[in-house]
Amino acid sequence: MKFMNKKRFGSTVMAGALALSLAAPAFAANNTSTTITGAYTDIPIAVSVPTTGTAQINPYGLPVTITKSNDTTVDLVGQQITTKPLSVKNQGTVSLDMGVSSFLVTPAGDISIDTAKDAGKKIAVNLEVAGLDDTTLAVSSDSENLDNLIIDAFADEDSWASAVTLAAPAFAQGATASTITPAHKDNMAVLGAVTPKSEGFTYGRKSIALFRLTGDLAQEPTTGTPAAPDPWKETDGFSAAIVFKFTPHALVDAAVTLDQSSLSLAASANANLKATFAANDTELTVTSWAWATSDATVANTNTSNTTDTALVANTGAGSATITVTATLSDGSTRTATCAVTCA
Amino acid sequence: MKRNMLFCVLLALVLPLFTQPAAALLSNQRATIVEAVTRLPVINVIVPSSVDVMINPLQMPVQVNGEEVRDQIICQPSFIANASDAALKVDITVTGAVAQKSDMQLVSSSTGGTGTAKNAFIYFEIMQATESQVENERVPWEPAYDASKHLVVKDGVAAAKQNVVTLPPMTKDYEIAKNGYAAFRLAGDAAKDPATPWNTNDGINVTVAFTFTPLSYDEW
Repeated sequence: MKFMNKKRFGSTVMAGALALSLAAPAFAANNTSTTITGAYTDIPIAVSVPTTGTAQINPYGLPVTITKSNDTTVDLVGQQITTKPLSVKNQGTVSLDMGVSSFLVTPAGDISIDTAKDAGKKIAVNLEVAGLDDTTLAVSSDSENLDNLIIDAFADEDSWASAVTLAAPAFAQGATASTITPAHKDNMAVLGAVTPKSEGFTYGRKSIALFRLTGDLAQEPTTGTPAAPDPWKETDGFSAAIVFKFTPHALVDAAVTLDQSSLSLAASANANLKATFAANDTELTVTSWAWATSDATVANTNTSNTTDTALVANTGAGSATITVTATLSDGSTRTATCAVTCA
Repeated sequence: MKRNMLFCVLLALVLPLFTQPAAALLSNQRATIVEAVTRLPVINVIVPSSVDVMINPLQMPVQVNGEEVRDQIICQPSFIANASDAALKVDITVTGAVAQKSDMQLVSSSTGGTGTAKNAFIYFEIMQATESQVENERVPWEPAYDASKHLVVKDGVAAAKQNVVTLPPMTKDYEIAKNGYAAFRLAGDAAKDPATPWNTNDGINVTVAFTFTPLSYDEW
């Protein structure tokens, strides 16, 4: 009997447990929840940055000859601080914004760093970053000619026309680096993505940015009053520490704008509207322009016009909207409008 | 033994901390160190250490480079050459001295070859020269003294002129540029028939000091 009681008890417990387990979905049906566990995942960036570089304090801007792998040479000339070619290459499939999170120039010898030169050995040092937009650089990652192309671009002053500049902070002679706040700047260049291929990748025309140090200094420094010559010495120099920062670039779509978003026309008057296309981060181009008016009895324009400029004429009092439509190389369109008020 | 082991473990943990960069980089950062040193121009100019000049008051014929010359002051063209990596501005200082046993005098204006005093008018002339002029030793000198270009040699007095010529730097092949030369000479005139005749004690020593100043690339 005693044994039978134990078995019955066990059966009862099991039956209860089974009933509870079956009932669970019914209980849960009134209290649904999902737990999402989040953890930071480092997204690796693929970007090539030289760890070291060399520069010269070159008071007379004498030519510095760079020899390429094919034994031809180019000269870097007229720069009082001459940097040998340096570049940053995006090797990933995501476009990157390139900034500088820290830029500090530590002087050596008799030099001190400031925002402007003086008659002595106080010099100004700038970091220049120039994002390239060059189809000749859209080469395979294993191209032997890439370094030569970069040297050519580096030596060409046109490459630096739109360079973004960051000035080194003042650093007095004998000061310690820990007391100086480094300079920093975001968005100094955009590095375009590369295109993967079976082996390696192909650089885009915007995948590479150049950087260099430039500056301003006295050609023949003096010291004291009255001024006595204080010639440059080979021991005068500096060490520049640059920390680049890369963040994914938010692509900017192609857009069309008009030179005027609103226009008031006197009776019988007319005016020109000019449309401008910006490819931004796309490779698109305009294949045709078209102009339209919301009310030709107020503001009229030639709807057969296919240029980027249109004449708008006052044809009657009231308000109308002139719309320009650009058809792009991929077949898509972009528009811009101008609100016209006619007297 | 246990203490030693503990010490070693601690040391192994602590040492790597000192080998890390001062500011550790984030995964989206990359660092570059650019070291700069000063480049000084190398000034290397070939300058003749001595030049001969002949006082020839009677305008006797003298052979110079295969040509007969009858000038009263005869000086073969001499050259300086810029073998520097920088363009150079040239300043000059010219100081004359009459030879110790001579009773001649250096005067500040042309004698016209006349007069009874034993006078000589001597001036220093320098001009840019080309490689072919150096090879042929033929220089298109000014036909007469020009105060704006030339320096009169005076006894015991230094005369100076700034920026008399600019010499371009050596070529990329480290050769002297085609116009990287300057030619100089002494020229002038002398009294043909002074009361005290010219003799072998008469003569001059002229010291020409060249000062070379580098020019920036943009300046030339």
